Amino acid sequence: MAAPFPELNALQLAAATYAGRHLLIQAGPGTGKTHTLAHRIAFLAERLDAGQRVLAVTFTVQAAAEMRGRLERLLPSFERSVKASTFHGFCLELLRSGAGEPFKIAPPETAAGLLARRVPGLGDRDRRALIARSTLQKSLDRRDDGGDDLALYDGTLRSLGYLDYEDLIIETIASLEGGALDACVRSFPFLCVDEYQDINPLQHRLVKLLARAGARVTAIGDANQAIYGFRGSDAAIFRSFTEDFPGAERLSLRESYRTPVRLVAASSQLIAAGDARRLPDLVLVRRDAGRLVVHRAASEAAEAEYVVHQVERLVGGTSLYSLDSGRVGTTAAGARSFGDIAVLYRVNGRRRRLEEAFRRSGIPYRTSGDLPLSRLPGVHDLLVALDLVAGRPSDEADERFSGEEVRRGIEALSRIRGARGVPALLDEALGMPGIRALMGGAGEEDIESLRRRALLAPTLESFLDDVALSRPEDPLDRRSERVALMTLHAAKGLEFPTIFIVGCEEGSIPLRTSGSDEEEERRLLYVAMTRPREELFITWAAHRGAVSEELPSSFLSAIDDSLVEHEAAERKRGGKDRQLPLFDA
Amino acid sequence: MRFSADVHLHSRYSRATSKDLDLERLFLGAKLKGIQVVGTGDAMHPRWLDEIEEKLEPAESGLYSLKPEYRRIIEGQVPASCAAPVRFLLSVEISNIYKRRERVRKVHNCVFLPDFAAARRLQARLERIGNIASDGRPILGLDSRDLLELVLDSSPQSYLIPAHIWTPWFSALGSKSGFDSIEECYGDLSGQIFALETGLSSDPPMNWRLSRLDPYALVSNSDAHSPRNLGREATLYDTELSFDAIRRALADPLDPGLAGTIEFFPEEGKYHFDGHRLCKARLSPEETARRKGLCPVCGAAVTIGVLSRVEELADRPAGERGGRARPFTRLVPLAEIAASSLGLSGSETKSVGGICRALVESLGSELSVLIESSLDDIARVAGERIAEGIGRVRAGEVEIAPGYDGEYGVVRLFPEAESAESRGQLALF
Ligand SMILES: [Zn+2]
Ligand SMILES: [Zn+2]
Repeated sequence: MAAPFPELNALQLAAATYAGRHLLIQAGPGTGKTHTLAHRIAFLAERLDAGQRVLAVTFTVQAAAEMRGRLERLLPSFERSVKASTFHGFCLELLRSGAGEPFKIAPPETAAGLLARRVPGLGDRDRRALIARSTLQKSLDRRDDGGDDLALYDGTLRSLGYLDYEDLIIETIASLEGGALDACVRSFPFLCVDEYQDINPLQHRLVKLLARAGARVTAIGDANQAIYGFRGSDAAIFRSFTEDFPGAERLSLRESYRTPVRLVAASSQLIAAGDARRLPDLVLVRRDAGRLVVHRAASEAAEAEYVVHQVERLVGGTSLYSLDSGRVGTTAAGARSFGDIAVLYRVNGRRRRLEEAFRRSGIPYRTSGDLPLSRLPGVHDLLVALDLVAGRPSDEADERFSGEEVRRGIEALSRIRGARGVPALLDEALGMPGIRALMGGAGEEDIESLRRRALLAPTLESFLDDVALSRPEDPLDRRSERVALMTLHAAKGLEFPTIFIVGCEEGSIPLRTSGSDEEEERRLLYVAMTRPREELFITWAAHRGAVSEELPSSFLSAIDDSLVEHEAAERKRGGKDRQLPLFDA
Repeated sequence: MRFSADVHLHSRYSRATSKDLDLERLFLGAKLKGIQVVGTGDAMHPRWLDEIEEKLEPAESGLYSLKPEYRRIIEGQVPASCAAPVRFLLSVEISNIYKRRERVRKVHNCVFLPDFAAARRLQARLERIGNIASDGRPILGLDSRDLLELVLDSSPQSYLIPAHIWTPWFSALGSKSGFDSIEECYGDLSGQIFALETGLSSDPPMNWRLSRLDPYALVSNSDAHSPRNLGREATLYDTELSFDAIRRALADPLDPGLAGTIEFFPEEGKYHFDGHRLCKARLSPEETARRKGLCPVCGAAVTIGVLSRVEELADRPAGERGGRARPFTRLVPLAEIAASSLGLSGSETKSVGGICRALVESLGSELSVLIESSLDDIARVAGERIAEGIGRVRAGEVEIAPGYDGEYGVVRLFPEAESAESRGQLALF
């Protein structure tokens, strides 16, 4: 019998070791959600029969990797007792192991490419809208209302042998309903779903299907952090858990470890201003106040300069120039490094000024939203060639692929494919001049990244699938620290010592566009405000472009003024830094 | 052959440098100062590297010379007395700012590259992880150890030298954000570090006080941000004129090629003593200890300078020689000697410039005037007083109010000529 986990608090322990059938864990920001879930999985893994696994579903591929890392340390048997992946990853594995039709995966970028060739009349904008509408219909599990749009989109993909991400779930549900269900539940008697507040109706149907056949469901999340309604997610699913899964227990994690006092208070006020019943039920563990600074900048450009200047100050000066000129003040203790800091914005349009300011300063930064690995120049052409090697005809094979040298290369690779492992096959391909020529612009790091993935792939098909679901990563990238620039959405699940939220003007946060939901916007700001471990800077620009006077976000008025340090004008340069008084709690 | 090298300096693409700093002026500066191997500086900056590639051509292996068409532009300004050839070596300083063991580290590293292929390879890697286009000395959030790995990947000949290792804010052993040892900074790759730059605020005898630095060659460079400061510190070699020979002289303790260094008086450096620049509080290590590290004016912790930091890590008494000790010469820049001799406060005046030019035109490069020319010859060109000043520098008879917290030290060659008041102030130190 597993010893109870001494590293958990009482509420976490109760959740991790709950022995009943279904369980919903309400986990506010910084309450140890991932930590508790990992222990819950470890607890369940001890209760498996031979050949069974716990299925742990995460929201992103990165979260799955992080969960695997935690479990590796916690649970010696984790390789054979846990499957940690996204819904898509799980469904893909299930479909590949079945006897269904062969298929390839079309991420939105690939789908756009297919449509561009097959439906030439469609402009770029319309194409993207078509894809967004179609995938939304599927996420909402309302395919029947999809109309001509969906028929065109689905028809194009299917006729070329592609499934998109939602199709992986749709096909899985079909296959389970077609008779594979019992075997599946025998293999995966326990199902744990992370970030349950962001589950969509299609995924919900899959979970219910598995539960009805006997799987025991643990769901964890925080309804106050539901921010993907625009993609079909539905926080109501979180709230209806106990009705969907009769007899389910509901437990709460309440001790907040991440967030300092002021930020817990301010973010709770934000939520309560929308609906007092949703007031986060948190117990403060930390006693330190933290900092909440609200800064009014004259313009977007001044706002960006302010952020860069603060970053420089927090790092304690980035060059001798800053120190000598007294710009930063040699007595300021630079306790942060670049990797400690993130700058968040509501819409990507806000990024340009920031990037300009960061570029001028020379401070290293990164932005998220890169292309998937499979779409990178060069890599993409290699993958098309490997598709052909795997006997999967590709609509993306243009005339370059019918050239003599390339054709002979592909034939040679097809012949040795059965006899060689994926890494050897990949090296063989990379060594062929014809294939190399196709790959013109491929970066060395991207090729390295392919090699690493090849090492883990049992078959060429699984390698191609894995790459289709991957984003590019450079190990050096991870080692080198940079200030992170990202959207509020992308900050979900992350934490940083220091966070900046820029562009907090009325109309930007909450974003007022057709179909935007004010309460979801509120939750989005809540998610962002609960990311910092130490300090939060909220900035807004009083003038934008040539136009209007702007007002600060009405959301900010929910926050008690005594929690906030207001910084209006730019600090004078050349003087010593004003030490801001710290709230002593 | 014997030659002097100054390979850590900056181009106009670095912050706070003179805007006219191009390769022609570096060439001219090196000629006038008596430097034969001059660093290009800033070799990762895309536009500067393009300019380097455009204006230089291969000379001896791993070294480059200014193409004749560009030499022609500037050659009119080179006096006949400064005929020694000038070669360029691809170099760049990188500012690494990163967190290691819960502390923010800021370390400057000088990187040297044997050819353009290596430079372009390294540039391509660094481009992906940071911004190399905004500052000739790029800021990277990369661990020094990882930078070293990339440097070694760029070519087996490429090497890295930790820059001005004692400055408090930005160096491998600095008091504020460095490490206690070179090994701690570069980890498993520290075996690939074979030389250290002592910086303006320390000289070889200070470094010899740490037995753990015995394995390293000690080098000096100007870290110049304008041609005027070129060669104020430099490294002397007696070996073949090539990248490989220079590297070997540093890497191989048995190679006799490293002949010594030209040094500042360390007191003249910006971080020799402790203190607060804004509070005008200058503290000797003893005073700092007495005041428990706190500023007498504002009460906050002072910036610990190089002398205190060396004292903290030293395991040998002053006066003993270190493992790879080489001869060194302490100099004061000619313009400063001239200004001090004439009782002028600034060294950038017209009359000072005239005297320096006259000396260089009739006797040879600045380094040769300062080190080799006879005092009689100097007196003949520039007068007795300046000859006396140079004589005092050669004899080490100078008074210096030490630098601290970013403030350069102030040299006095003729303290007896200064007013009683200012001598009263000096006596404080
Ligand atoms: Zn430096
Ligand atoms: Zn002070």
